[in-house]
Amino acid sequence: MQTNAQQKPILEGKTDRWAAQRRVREAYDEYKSLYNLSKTFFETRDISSILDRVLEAFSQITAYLAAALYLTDRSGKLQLTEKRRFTDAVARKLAKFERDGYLDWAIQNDRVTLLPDEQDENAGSLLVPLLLNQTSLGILVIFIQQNERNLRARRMDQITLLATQGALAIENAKLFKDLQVQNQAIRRIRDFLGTVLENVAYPVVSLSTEGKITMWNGAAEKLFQRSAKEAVGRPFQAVFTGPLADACDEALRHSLLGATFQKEELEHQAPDGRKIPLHLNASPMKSESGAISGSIVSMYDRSESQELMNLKKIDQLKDEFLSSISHELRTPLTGIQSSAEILLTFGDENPETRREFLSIIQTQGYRLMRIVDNILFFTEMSQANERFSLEPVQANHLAEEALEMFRGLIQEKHIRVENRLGDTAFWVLAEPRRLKQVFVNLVDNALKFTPEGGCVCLEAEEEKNGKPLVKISVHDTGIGIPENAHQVIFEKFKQLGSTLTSKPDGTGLGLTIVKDIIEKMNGTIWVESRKPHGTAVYFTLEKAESHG
Amino acid sequence: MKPVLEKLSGQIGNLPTLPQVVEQVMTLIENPDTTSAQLADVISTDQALMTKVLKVVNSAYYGMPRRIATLRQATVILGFNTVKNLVLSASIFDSFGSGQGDVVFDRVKFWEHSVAVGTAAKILAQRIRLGEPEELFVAGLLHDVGKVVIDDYLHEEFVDILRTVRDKKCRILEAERDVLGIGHPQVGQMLAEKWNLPDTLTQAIAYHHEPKVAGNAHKKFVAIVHLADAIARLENLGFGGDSLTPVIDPESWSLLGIPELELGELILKIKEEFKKASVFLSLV
Repeated sequence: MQTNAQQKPILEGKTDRWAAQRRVREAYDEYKSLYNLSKTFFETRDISSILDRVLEAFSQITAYLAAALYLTDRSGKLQLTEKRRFTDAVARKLAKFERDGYLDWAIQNDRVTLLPDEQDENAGSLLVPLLLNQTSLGILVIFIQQNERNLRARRMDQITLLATQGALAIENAKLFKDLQVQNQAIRRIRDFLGTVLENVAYPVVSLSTEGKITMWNGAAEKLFQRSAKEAVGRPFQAVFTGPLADACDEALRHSLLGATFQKEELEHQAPDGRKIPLHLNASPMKSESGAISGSIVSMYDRSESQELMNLKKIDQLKDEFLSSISHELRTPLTGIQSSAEILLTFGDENPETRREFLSIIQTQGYRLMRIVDNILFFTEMSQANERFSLEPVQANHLAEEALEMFRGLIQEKHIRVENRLGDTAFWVLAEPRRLKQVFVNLVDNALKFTPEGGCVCLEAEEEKNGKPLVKISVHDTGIGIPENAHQVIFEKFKQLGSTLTSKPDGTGLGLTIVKDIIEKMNGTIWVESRKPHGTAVYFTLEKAESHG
Repeated sequence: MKPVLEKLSGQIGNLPTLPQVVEQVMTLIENPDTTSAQLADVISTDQALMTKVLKVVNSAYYGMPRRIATLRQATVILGFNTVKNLVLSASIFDSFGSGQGDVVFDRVKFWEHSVAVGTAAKILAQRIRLGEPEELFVAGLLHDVGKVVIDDYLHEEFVDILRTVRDKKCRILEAERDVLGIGHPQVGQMLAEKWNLPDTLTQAIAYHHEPKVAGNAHKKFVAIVHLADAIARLENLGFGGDSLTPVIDPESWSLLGIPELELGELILKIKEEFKKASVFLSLV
């Protein structure tokens, strides 16, 4: 109002005021109704329903002719998702907008734009871009009736208001839908992982930072005989005991510092009493923020794999054994074969030569037999611990039979052999065939290690050590066996790690078999070194009361 | 009252008024029932203005896919406010144009700076979806209008101010307070009030150096202009009067709620838009 205004009649002044007030009231009512209209957009999450409501609202302020909703797909391209009152003409117009670049232009500039129709001055197209956080969600195109000349700012405001609200509602709905899809995917992954963990063959458990069990899978239930319900929520000390609990404690401490932890050869006692070798692995669990939220502990029952390793070792040893046996067999066989060849070629000429070589054949033949017997005894040894049937036996007869087998070698090496077993008529409880093998192997060894001119001696004496025992010895004046090998020579294969160490040359299996036999006959066997040089092998057997 | 201020208030009467067309446009826009035809008719009474508006509308600045032939079309497609702001922008260059041919103060570079601030302000407004981005463009364009008023209507004092800036190596605002007793924001405010510009615009001009003081309703608006000014200076777009690092009010940034990470991207966008906005400088 101007200070030097004309004098207005009071009545007219009032009318002016009323008119102004009425205009304000009208405007307010208009916007209120638009606001109420637009509230309905947000009452549903279904994009198609939202679109219907938006178009319904539009038709209240202007006639809407058609509509199309584009939503961007994952690759960012606009896809026509919803159509209303779609005709060919509409399709053509839209295609032109796309070609001309108006859709992209509206989206890029984030403006609600009204494009006057080029042919019809009473129509226009409203472009409403949909955006969320700078990303384009799509665009809504509404064809309305609007005269280009008569467009009022007020009308433009109303249209823009409805359009913006509609855009917001659609943006919300799309966001919600995307969130649902994401949640579904997450649920699927979670279920999948859950199933995997449950069915994996290794016990896997997880611990919180305070050591409470937060996850206990199916394999853990089986191994520890405790259901997940019983275990989850309890401190691990309540469920694990002994070395396993200690290992878990260490594992958790390592995890809290961000380090992994491993413990091999953990012995766990199963509820049924079995001792199970466990291998334990622990890693820190991290939450989204990177903070450590606990520990994942997985265990591995090594019993099967240990068995496998043992089997592998045995397989390897078997091959080495076969190889060494083959070598042992070759020597006498070569002797026999070459002697036979010579006999066949030259034997007829000289009876002395003939005798010599036939003798070699005989000696080597015995040797072959001894080796084969040893192999047989060895395989018998590996079989189950059968007890032999023991009977009263005269040891010296068996000794004599054994010595007979070495006659050739004894003569050759000029060894003096003294069998004093017959001096005292001892009867022992033994299995004859095997006791003979004992003597065979012991004499074999004694002869092997005694140089020419040496002496091999067999003796016996009674021992009173609780039960009446007979102590028999086979000793020689040979090179002797070093003290530190006195135990080793009785062992099958000495293992250090996974390689065979060498036993004193040539002792092979003989003593191993002897030890096995003596022990199965309730006796003991040991070795002593003799002065000045030589070896004595002692063994005991139960004395037989009678020879009945 | 300082003799200078006396001189200034005397000069206020001499300050340019808005061209009549612009005043009419502003009035029409106030009325929501104005039609596009009416607005277009008023503008086309000033041929030169109409040409300028259409030139900008069809330039790379708006990047319209197809040519807009009439003002009426421009009003429908770009909106009433956009056209209003274009009219305002075009006429500012008319009123203050190319200046006195100063050697020390390059007015063209000054308008470059103003256009840059306008561009930056518009982009920031778009980013936070605040009101009409075109309003902010005009605000940016006008934010330092006080300087050209001083240059045109208190020319001796203006030369003094520039000398002070050179000698003391201080900010132009300090030099203005030294010589005049008030700063260019307040001078600009006087012009804005004479022109009856909307409150938001007036406050942006008055408080773009101290956004905290702005009224609550306009705080974000003013904060945007404040930051836009700083960005334009940091990126050396045009020349604002001194080369010192601008003082930035930290609250202004947090008020807008834009993540810091986006700043780099936004600045790139601003530089690109600025190139397109050179069409405005052709109106000088």
